[in-house]
Amino acid sequence: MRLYALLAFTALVAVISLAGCSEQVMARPAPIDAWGETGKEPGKLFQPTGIAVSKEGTVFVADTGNDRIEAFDASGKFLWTFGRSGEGPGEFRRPMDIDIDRNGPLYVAELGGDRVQVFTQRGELVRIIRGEGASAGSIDGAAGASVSPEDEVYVADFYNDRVVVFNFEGNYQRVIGVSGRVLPGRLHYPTDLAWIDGRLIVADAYNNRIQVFTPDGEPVSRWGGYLGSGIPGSSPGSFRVATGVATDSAGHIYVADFENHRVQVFDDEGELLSVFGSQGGGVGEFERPTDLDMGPDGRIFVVDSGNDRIQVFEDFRKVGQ
Amino acid sequence: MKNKNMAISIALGLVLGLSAIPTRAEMRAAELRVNGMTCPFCVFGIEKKLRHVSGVNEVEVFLDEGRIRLVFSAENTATVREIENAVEDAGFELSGLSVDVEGTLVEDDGAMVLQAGEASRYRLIERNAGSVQPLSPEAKRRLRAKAAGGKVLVSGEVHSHSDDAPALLVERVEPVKDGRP
Repeated sequence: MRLYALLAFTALVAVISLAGCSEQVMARPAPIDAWGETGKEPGKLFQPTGIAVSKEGTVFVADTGNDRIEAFDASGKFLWTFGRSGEGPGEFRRPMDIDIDRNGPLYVAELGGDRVQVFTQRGELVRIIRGEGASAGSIDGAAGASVSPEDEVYVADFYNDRVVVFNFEGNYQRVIGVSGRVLPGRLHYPTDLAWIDGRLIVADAYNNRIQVFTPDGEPVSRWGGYLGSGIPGSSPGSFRVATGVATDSAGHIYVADFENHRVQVFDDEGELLSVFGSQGGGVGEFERPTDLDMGPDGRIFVVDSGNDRIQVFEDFRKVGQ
Repeated sequence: MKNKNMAISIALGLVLGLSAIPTRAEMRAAELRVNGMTCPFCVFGIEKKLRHVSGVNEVEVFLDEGRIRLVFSAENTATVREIENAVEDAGFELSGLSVDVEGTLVEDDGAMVLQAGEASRYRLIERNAGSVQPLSPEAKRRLRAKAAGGKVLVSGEVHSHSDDAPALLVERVEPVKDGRP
């Protein structure tokens, strides 16, 4: 009962405080390119979900509906593809997310395959991480993956409402977060992971918030809704399903705000810096963006999932300077 | 005596062998309607859970229509309950379910039942004068005539799918010959 009263109070305060923010003028990165076409042929996209850009500028897209990874140059020119539907090594059951570790390999999280497969950038399979033999390390829906600065592999375990940590070789280490709502450390269908200053950022998707943890799993901070409670909303700083998260070299945190059809940018303390995008299929508009990443030159690549395309925005670090 | 023993052994072997044959699977296809399937994580999550239902061969998701089609392998023991549980496990609720089920018509306490494997039974119902009712004597007679003592493939919408013997609103019936309708 006390919890409900607290929730009602925080919701009221949130509405009052956020009403004043909606008119703030914020710097917005301009859209500079959009590419992608719906289809099954190589180079086309069908329900893409995840993205990662290499330090050389190659854009890797998790072409989820086609069960494959596709590589493009920054202007959208198709380069190569690998993977096909299936459960064998190198095959995919709904690849949702890609991460590139600093040495170059791709980590592909498969929602349907409950595993992370590691590939060279050309698509040669390096190893498979699936938590076999450790019940606590089992995965029910690998929605996102990220390699830590210490070379541990963190996996967003979608249906178990937690993050599972493996060492570089793929041996289970520990879990982060427990299933739940509102309170710090509680997760509800996490989908994506990123790093800032050695801390783990979790897209706590269906809690409509971002949570920050130490690598050992101690909750550090959270935002989205009022005081990070995760009350869904459309005012600046609130989310309706926060599915994707990425960081840049200046310490900015970018969030794909899925059902609000927009991207929000925060500083490393969770202060809102920018909101851009609205629903639609035009330039700078989104139909349910799912993930994003920065190119080596700072350009922002956003998976515009419902439009089967990638949208590119200018470097946010230069906006307003 | 030796021949007699051999005959008994063969007969026993046949009986044991036949009983070891798995119960013939009966669900051929299913079409699910699920509300609120908007995000790829949800859609592909439901797909993942449904792939674990016994005997599911294919899962096809029609995101824009909120519709999922399942195709089953020839030997399966899938039940309506399993399908419902898989959808709930993915965080959703079924808003509708149509199935193609193969089985044998039996009478049970005055009602006509499609016996589809050991654990799977469907109470057959029809729409009559705007309401859903047990099959009329005339409808039963027509179904028995179609089956001609063999198996039938019944297509229809599942009602009260939480029951152990879900009610199946009969829309189409075809006799099954040589394993195929």
